[in-house]
Amino acid sequence: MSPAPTIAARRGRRGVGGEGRAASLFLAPTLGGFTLFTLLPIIGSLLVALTVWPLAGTPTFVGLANFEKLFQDGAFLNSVVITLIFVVVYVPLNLVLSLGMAAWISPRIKGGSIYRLLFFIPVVTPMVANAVVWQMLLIPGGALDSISLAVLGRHGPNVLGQSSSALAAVVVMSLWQGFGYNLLIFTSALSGVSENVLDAAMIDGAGSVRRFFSIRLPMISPSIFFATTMTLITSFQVFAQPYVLTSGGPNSATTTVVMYLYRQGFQYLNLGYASAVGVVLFVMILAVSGVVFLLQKRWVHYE
Amino acid sequence: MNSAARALASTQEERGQLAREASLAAALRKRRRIGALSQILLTLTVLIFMVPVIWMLSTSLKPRAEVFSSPPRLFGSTVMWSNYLAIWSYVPFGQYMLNGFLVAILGTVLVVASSVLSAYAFSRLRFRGRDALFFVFLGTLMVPQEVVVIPMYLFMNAIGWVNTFQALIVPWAFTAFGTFLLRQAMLAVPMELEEAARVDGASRLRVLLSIITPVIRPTIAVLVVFTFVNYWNNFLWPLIVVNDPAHTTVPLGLSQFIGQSMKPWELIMAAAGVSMLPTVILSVVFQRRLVRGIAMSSGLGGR
Amino acid sequence: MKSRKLLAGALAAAAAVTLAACSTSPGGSSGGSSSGNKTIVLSFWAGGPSDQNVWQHTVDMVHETYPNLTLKLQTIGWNDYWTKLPTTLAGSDAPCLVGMSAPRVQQFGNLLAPLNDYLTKNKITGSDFDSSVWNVMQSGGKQVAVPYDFGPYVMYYNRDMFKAAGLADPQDGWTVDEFVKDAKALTKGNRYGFTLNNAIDAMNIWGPTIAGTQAVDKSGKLDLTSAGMKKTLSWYAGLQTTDKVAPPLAADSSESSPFLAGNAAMYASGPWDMSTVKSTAKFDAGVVTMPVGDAGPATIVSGSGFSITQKCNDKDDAAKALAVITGSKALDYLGSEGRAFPARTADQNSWYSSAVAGAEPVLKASQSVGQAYRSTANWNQISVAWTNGVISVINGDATVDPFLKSLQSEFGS
Repeated sequence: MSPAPTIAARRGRRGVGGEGRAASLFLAPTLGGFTLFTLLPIIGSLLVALTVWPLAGTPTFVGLANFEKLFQDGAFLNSVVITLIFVVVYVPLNLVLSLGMAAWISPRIKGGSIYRLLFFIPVVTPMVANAVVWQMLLIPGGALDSISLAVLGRHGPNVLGQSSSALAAVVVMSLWQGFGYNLLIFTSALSGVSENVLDAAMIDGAGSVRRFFSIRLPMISPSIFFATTMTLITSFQVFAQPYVLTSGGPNSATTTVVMYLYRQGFQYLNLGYASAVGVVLFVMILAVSGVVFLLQKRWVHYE
Repeated sequence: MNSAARALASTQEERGQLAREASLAAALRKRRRIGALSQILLTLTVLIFMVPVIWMLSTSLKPRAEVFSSPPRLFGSTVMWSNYLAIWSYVPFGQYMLNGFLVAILGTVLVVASSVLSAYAFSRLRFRGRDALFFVFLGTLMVPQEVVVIPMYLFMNAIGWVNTFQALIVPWAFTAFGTFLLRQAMLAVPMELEEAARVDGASRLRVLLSIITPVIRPTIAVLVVFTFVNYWNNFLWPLIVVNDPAHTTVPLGLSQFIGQSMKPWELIMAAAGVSMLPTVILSVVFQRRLVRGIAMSSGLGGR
Repeated sequence: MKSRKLLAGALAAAAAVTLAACSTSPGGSSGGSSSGNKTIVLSFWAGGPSDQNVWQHTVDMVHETYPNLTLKLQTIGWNDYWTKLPTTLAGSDAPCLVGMSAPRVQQFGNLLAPLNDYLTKNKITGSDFDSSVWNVMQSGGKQVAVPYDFGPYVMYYNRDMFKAAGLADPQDGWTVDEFVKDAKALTKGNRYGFTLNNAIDAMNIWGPTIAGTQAVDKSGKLDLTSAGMKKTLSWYAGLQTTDKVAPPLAADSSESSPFLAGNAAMYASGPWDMSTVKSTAKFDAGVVTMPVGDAGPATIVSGSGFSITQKCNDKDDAAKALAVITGSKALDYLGSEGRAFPARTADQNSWYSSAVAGAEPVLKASQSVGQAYRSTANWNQISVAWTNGVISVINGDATVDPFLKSLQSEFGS
């Protein structure tokens, strides 16, 4: 006669699929929007990639011609190389920096949370604003140049104007902007490592370095995996930095895949071709994430 | 003989104990010295890290002719607070800020509302295919915005949404991130709370709004910050879909500001600084929740 | 409870912001309407507030002439303008009037409304305008733009810097070698003799006099690998790499800033820059004809105008506004401000009278050796690719031949 069994009974009667109607009401906004604005465009991306579609014109179906053209397109392949170089350099550096900094700012350090907050600030500021500030530092006549002139007596390197250094500048700027996020992830993770295990190791004579690499690192491997995946995915999307700092130059030295996508779609007005670039980008991200996922089985230690 | 050996052993033990204590004390002193050195180095590192921001502020207060002075100086001959006034008339910066707030606030409201509803469905309601649907939904988080901008642009053009606020807000309001985060939080809310209310005859919606939502307020705060920051900083999409200053958001406006042939750097830096304020303030105010939220979204902490 | 209050608060904030944002911007490209007032939009390029003011004054003339009609001015920087124009013209709320430049008419011609009927209705007569610029604003045999200015490229120079270096002012008929010699003498420390332009325009500014070529040959085909182009680009890049008379370029380098700031002694531009030079430069400025190269005296003539977009729903009103902003009064004003050398022959004196001393004979001499700016239908794309790639060549990082070849193969038909 108490109400509880009634609820339970009600639930039991309806079984697993019982609350479908209620569910559809609650899910309607999100799933509706999701279908319209995520699912359809994803499919649309594939469909548009199969056409030649000038921006102010009508589409023509061409099958896989865009993809054939892509794999022979020197400029596109160059953008893939540039993106891969960026990813391969940026991701490890980001992880090492954030992990190292997380370990350094131990609870012993006074004001640790303020330091972490300061490192985190560039993460939330608009990338365009960050790039604008860095551009002012690096252009001929800017801070780098005039400090060099004052201290060394000669002009500083034209970092953004030379293909050899432009990508490095983009990497450095991106590191400055991005590592604060992983810093927070790793700080939480490190604080969750059991003190008992660490103390036991210390008593057994393990030095702090040994303790770090043999105990703390493996125990936070789930978050390393997470941070790696997220950083990888976002590093493939690099766009605002090269757009503002160097407009993709000089001589395409910083034209990443997304920059190439934008250029093909909205500067050269080839929407179909640009969409094909987008599809290839997605496949690349999937492939890399898949590899990381497979590797996690080997080196991620779950409790 | 045994007692002599034992007596000898105990003295050795004492001596060993004393030696260990001495070395521990020495280690602690060394540790404290290293700790102090560490603190100083860390402070220096943070200062160097902040150089771009410091330079931005310094430049924003200089008179135009002294922006690129050599040798570089922290302060100009006069402190030009008026620069911060000038940016509002030099470009329609006020319009950009207003548009930014409009898009970010409305977008955040939309995201939170739809995420609360769908997270409830995925965490509390039982229906066929729930988990499969959730994983598919979550999987689309891997599809970056860049991949779908082309079909999204065509879609906007087809429904007459190019260069509108709806185009800036709606397409990105239905990603799985909010649902994922809130579902995680809702799973931790005990069922008894809900059941008690349901017994009293409350509808599911009432339960959701009056009982569950207040409990997961910290997580909602995190979602608000993340969503606001993403909308505020969004660059590629406004670059594509906005055609006039009446709809230009802050990053786009900043990139156009710097795209002019005559660059008033001191004003650009002031504008960059102001553009950073909303998200920085938000992050500082909610920093503790943010840290927890970031930890939680990486799969830890919320377990 | 508290969350509901928060939600209500957020919604209220959103409403307030919406109202504020929407009221500061009368929406849409046409409409906007109280008591029969019509607002149409002109999308245009401008650099900085002084330029903005000049154009706002011009645009206000529409309302003075037709009290029921207001022309609203929307501007962004030159580069962003051309990048945005395709999506702007393709959007459903395309502005009624857009700025158009001679080299780009070919590219956008089919998105612009043919003007012939509107011209007669509003009494705009082609013969009032300089024929060279009037004729280039046509596409498919129809007039698609009405020019407001045109002009040959000339060399602006900093008289004070010349005097300080003990050099005589350059005279009409001076040679390229004399130009380089002067530039070298003027380059000291942080100051340079010249500034470079990373747009493809530079090839057309110098090409005619150095090698008798432009980027596009006389038949209208892109020809970047001609001997003349190679010679021109090598010489131009050499100004930075070998002669070192110009500052190194970064992607966003502005050509005019160093000159206006007094850090570069010379810079090549057209009569439209006279107003900026006079208002911003804190030194005594002069103009002279472009130096004469191996191919004899020659310079390029470019021009700009306004067009009505195909998607405009108020073409009649747009045509009325067009007539005002390209009318005699407007061009007189623009000329006297030094912002435009009027395309209307009768109004050109206004520019002469307000320009720096000695400008009139310079302009007339330059015009007499001027060539039309030749371009192709994919000029936007070529410009983007050129601007992106030439920096390396100018900074000495890449060589001329492969650069020209790769662009030619990508864009040459």
